[in-house]
Amino acid sequence: MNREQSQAAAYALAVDRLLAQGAPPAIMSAEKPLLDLAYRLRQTAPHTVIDPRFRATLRQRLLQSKGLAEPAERRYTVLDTAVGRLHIAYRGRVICGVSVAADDMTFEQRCVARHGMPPSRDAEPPAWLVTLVGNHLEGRRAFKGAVDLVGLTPFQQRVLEKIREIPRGEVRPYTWVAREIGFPGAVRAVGTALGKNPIPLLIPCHRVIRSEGSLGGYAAGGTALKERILTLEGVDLPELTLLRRLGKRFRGSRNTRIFCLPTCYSRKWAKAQHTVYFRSVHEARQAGYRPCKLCRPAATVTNQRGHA
Amino acid sequence: MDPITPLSENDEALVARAKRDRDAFGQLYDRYVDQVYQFTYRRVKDHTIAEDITARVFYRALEQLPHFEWRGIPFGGWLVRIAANLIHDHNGYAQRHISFGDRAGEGADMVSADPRVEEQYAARQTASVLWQAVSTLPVAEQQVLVYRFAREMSVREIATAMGRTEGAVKQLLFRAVKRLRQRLQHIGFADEP
Repeated sequence: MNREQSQAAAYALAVDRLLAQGAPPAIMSAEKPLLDLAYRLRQTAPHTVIDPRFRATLRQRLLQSKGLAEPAERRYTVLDTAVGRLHIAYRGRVICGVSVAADDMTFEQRCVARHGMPPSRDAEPPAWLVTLVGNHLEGRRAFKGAVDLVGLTPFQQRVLEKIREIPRGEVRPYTWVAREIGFPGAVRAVGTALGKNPIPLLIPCHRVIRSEGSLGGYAAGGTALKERILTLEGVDLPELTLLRRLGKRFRGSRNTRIFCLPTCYSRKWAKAQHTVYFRSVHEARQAGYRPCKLCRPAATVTNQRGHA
Repeated sequence: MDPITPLSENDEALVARAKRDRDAFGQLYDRYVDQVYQFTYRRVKDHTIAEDITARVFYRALEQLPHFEWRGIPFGGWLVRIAANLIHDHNGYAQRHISFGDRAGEGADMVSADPRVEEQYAARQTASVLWQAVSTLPVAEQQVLVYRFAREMSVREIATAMGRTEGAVKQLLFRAVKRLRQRLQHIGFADEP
């Protein structure tokens, strides 16, 4: 018996005992996190829960039944844009995947990895797609259409849906995304979710940067590309760099007594002589400023530790 | 609302799309299958029958979908009504009414009874997060957790049901809990009480 087997056997025995006698208090100890978790599962188990195997097979059987129309075929095409050559996969009008500066081979492989089938190539990009991508990249109309986020966890889907709200020309920190979706501690997980974005550019994961003002990574093509896209969108990167050097993370207005993230839309009205900068939410609140309602730089309830 | 449902299309749009797109029907299925199953199970009190009825509900829904018109009635309500009809057929006319005794247990499914509402709410939240996380595991691992903790089957019973050896079941159980813990840590929930 190898180590994991014996560990598993001992664990199963312990769970048996736990099921038999309820909750001996020693089990809640931190040294036995797995047993503790099992205890909680036991405590919270819904007795009406469906058998996951049944759930999965029924789904498959339903989707294979004759009552349903075949899904539109997955196709892809290539578009040359200001940010480089884009490979875009779509099914009907649902966008399934985007790659920047890829070649046909690698893009098809990526699609196979996600959807199991290689898409077929459209020689000419369909007109609606050209309009959609053009409007989105040139800022005439942000893309709000359907996307296929299959294969991502609900958490990751939620992150990606959230960042679609970040307007062009603005950026938000990872912590902001984590807080907005209700998981303030899951900053790293947000980073992972953005790294898995199957539809970069159209889902603007490049608009998420680090709290202190540096750009962070860009899985879709490297930091240099992220920088280029943000510049194209009108983000003042030199200003962000300057603020980072000074250690300032928020911009406030003496007139309104409101503080914002540096790229908040309200900068349109900000006048240099009224602008003040803050290092932290705490500092801003101490000075009597309230968080902006547009960019929501801080949780509405006072954050005692003063972090953003 | 459970905490990790993605913000996505509303039912009306999804139902319209499901008439011609099988992925959309799949999404509707994902959204409602648990609800339909729980509704059914609470009334028939037997997992095999509940599975049978749940399957028939969705086949009927698939059949009827082209005729389904959106009149502001929630789609889930429509499914539950199909389920209620099928349960009725199943029971013949024997089950004339559901006694209060049967229904008293319903609220206790998720958490042990606790007089303090806030605590109960917190426990419900934890339960919801926990079992949501379970649903992201590989199917076999989900299955072993459900069998072990929700249905309280013994390792031997699970082994028979899943067609695996007892050793394999123990190992699967261990891995499932381990992976679940990783997932929970990943979304920052492992340290919650």
